[in-house]
Amino acid sequence: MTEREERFEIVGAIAIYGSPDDLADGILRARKEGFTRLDTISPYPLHGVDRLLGKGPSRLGYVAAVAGLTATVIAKTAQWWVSAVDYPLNIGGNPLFALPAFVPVTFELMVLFASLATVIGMLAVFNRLPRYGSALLRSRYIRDLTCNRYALVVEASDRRFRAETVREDLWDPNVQAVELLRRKKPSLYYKERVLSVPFLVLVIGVAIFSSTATRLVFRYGGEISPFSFMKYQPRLGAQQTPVAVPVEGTVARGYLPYPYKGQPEEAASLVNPLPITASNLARGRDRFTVFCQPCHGRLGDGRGTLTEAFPKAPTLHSRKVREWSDGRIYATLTEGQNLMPRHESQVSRDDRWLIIHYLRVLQRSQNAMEQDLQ
Amino acid sequence: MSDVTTRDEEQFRHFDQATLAQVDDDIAAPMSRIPGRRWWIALAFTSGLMLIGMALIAYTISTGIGVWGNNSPVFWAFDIVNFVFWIGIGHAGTLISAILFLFRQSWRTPIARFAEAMTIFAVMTAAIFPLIHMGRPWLAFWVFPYPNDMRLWVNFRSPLVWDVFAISTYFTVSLLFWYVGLIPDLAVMRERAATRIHRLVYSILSWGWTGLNRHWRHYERAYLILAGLSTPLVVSVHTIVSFDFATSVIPGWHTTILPPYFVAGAVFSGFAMVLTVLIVLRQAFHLEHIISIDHLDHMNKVVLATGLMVGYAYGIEIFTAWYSQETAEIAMIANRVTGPYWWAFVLMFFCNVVAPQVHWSRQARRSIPKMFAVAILVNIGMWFERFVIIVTSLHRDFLPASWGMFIPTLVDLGILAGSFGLFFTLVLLFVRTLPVISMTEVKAGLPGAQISRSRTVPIGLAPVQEVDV
Repeated sequence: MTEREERFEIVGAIAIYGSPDDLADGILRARKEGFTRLDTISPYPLHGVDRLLGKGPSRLGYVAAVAGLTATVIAKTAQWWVSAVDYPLNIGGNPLFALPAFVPVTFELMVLFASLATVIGMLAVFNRLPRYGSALLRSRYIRDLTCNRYALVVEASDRRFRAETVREDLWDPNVQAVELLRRKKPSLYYKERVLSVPFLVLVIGVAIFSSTATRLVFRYGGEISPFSFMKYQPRLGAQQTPVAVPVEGTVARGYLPYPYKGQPEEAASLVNPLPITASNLARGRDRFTVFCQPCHGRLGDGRGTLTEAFPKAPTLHSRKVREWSDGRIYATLTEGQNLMPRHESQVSRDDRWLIIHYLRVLQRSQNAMEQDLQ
Repeated sequence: MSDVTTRDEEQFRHFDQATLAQVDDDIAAPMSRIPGRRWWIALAFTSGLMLIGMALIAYTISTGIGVWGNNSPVFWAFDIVNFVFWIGIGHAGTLISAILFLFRQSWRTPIARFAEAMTIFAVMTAAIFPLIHMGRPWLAFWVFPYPNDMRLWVNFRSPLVWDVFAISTYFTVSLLFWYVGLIPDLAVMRERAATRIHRLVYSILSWGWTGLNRHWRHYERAYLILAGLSTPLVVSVHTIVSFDFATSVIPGWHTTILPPYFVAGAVFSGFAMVLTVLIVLRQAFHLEHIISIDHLDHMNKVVLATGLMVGYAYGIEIFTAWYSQETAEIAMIANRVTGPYWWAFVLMFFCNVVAPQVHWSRQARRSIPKMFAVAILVNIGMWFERFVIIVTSLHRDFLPASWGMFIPTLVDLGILAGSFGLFFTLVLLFVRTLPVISMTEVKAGLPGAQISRSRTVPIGLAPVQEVDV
C-alpha cells in the first residue's frame, strides 16, 4: 500500500459533464447501469434533476410548520401568563388577556421560529452541513463545478461501485473526465487537525481571553460613568456638617433667642404675649399633661406618676410659685431648675406661655378665694 | 497511477461554459482587485461621517439627551424620524427579494442580493435610534421580557413592545434570508480565493457547500419558505411601526390609514434608495449588462405606483379631517399645511407626489439622470414625511399653553449625517467583500443553463438513495 492509500480512503467517484443535457443523459445511464447511491453536482439549481433521480420535493416545509405552530402556542401562553397571571397590569380597565393585542408578538415569534428552524433544518439536518472535510472539496474539478460544469457523483458504498472499474463504468461519450474521490481517514483527520498544537493553543487562548474579558467587563464596567448610575458624585455622608451653613446671626421664624440665659430674675419682667382663650387654655392643658404632669401631677400638686422612680417634684401651689410672675415661670420652663431639665428644645415658645396660662388656672382652682364663689 | 481519466477538452467546449464563467468573473471582479482611488475617497468620506456620528452619540450618552433639540411638547423628534426612515429603507430589500420572488418576477434576480444587503444595513442603522432614544442604551435589554429580580414583565399590550419583537425578528430573518442566498456564492468565492486568508474565511462561511443536488433541493425549498415568511413579515413590521403612532390619541397620528400608508411609504423610500445606490454601483463596477436599463425601468414603475399610494394617503388624511368635522383634526391639518412647518409639508408633497409623476413617461424611466434626480428627491421627501408626521403633530399640544417648536441642534444633524455615513460605509465594504449580485441565480437564468428537454424515466429502476460524501 502506498502512503496515500494509507492516509486516504476512496469514498466515491465523479464524472464531469459539460452541459446540463449531457448530465441528464448521464443520470439515466448510470441508473440503468444499476447505480443507486447517486447524486449530481451543479453550479446552480438544475430543475428536473429531482425527477430524473426519482426524488420527491423537500420535506422542509413540515419543519417550518411545526416550528411556527410551536412558537404560536408558546407566544400565546407566555403572554397570557405574564399579562394575566404573573404580572396583571390594569390599564384603563382593559382586559388582562387581550387576544387582539397579543397577535403582533405571536406573529413575529411564529415567523422567527419558523425561519430559524427552516435554515437550521436545511443546513444541519437535511444537508448535513457544515462539512469542511468533504472529499468533494479535494476534487481537482471543484472550482469548475461551482462555476460552469456538472457532475454525476457515485458513492463508494453503492453495491455496484468497484474502485478498479468505476472509471470505465461511468464513462460515456459525453463524459469529460472521471475522478476518484478520496478523503483523509477520519481517525487521521481528528489526530492531525483537532489535536494539533496550534488548534489547541487557539482554543485555550480564546477561552482565557473571553473569560478574562467577561470578568473585566462585569467587574469594572459598572464603575465607568455614565454606566455607574451616579455611584461616584459629591455628596454628604451621614452626620456630616452640611455644606450650606446659615449666615451668622440668622434667626429662624418663631425661634427668637432667649435673652435671659442664667438670669431667671431678669426674666421676671417678661409678659405673657398670648391671650387667654378657651382654645389656648385647651392647648396649654394638653402640653401640661404631656410635659409637666409626669412629675408635678395632674393638678400641679407634686403628685406625679413618676414618683416611684424619680425624686419628688415640688408642688406648684406654693406661695413662692404663685407669687412668681409669668416671666419668672417662663425662665424656669426654658432653662430648668435643680433636677428639672430645660424644656426650650422640646416645648415651643408659644406652648410654654400657654402652659403658664393653664398653670394659673390650676393655681386658682386649688387656692380659690371667696369672691370666686360669688 | 492518477485518480483522473480525462479526454481532450477541446472537443467538449460547451456553448455556455464561457458565458457562465464570464458571469462569475464580472461579479467577482470588484472583490478580486485592489480598490481604486475613487473607492478609497468615498470610504474616507462615509467613514468620516460615521465617526462624527459615533462621537456625537458618545457625547449624547455621556451628557444626556438634553443635547438634542427635543423638548416639551416635541418629545419625539430626529431620533424617531430617523428610525422610521431607515426601517422604511430596508423594506424595499425584502419586497424585491421575497415578494417579487413569490410572484416569479425574474427581473428581480440581479438586484435582489444588493437590496437584501441594504435591508440589513438599513435595519442596523435604524436600530441605533431607539437605543440612543432611551438615553441609557446599556439597559436596552429591559425592553425584552426576561425573568428578573425586579419581578417585572413588559406590557404585551403596548405597541412599543410589539415594535421590539417586530424589529428584532425582521433583522434576524432578513439576515438569515440574505445569508442563505449567499452560501452558494460564498462557495464560488472560496474556489476563486486568491489568498489563504480569503480561502479560509469564504470556506468557513460557505459551510463546505459543494452544490450537490441534495443541497440544492433543500436550499431552494428553504429559500421559498423564507420568502413566504418574509412577505407577511415585511408588511407586519412597518404596520407595527405605524401602531406606535396610530394607537395614541394625538391628532395626526390617531388614524386607521397609518399602517397601509406606512408600508407603501416604506417600499417607496426603499426603492428610491436602492435605485440611488444601484445607479452608482452599476456604472462604477461596469455591471450595465447584468443590471440593465430594463431592470431600472421596472423599479421606476414601482416608485411611481407607491408614490401614488403615498399621495393618496396624504389626500385621505385631509379628507378624513374634513369629513370627521373633528375640531382637533381640522386644526392639526390646517397647522400642518399652513403652520410654522408648512415648508416641510410642501417639500414632502413636492418630492413624494409631484416629482415621481415624470415616470409616466417611458423616456424618463429609462434616463439615468432623470431617474437619479427623482430617486434623490424621493429620499429627501420621505425623510421629511416622517418629520411632518412626528414633529408637526406634536408641536401643537391640546392646550395652547403647551405649544412649542422643535429646532434641531448640531448634535441632531450630526447624528443624522452619521447614520448615512454608517449605512454607506457598510455598503462600500459589502461591494468589495461579497458578491453584490447572486452569481448562482444569474447563471441559473441564462439561456441554455437548464436541461432543455424532458426525458422519460424508465419504470422499474432501483430507487436512488441519498449520497453523503
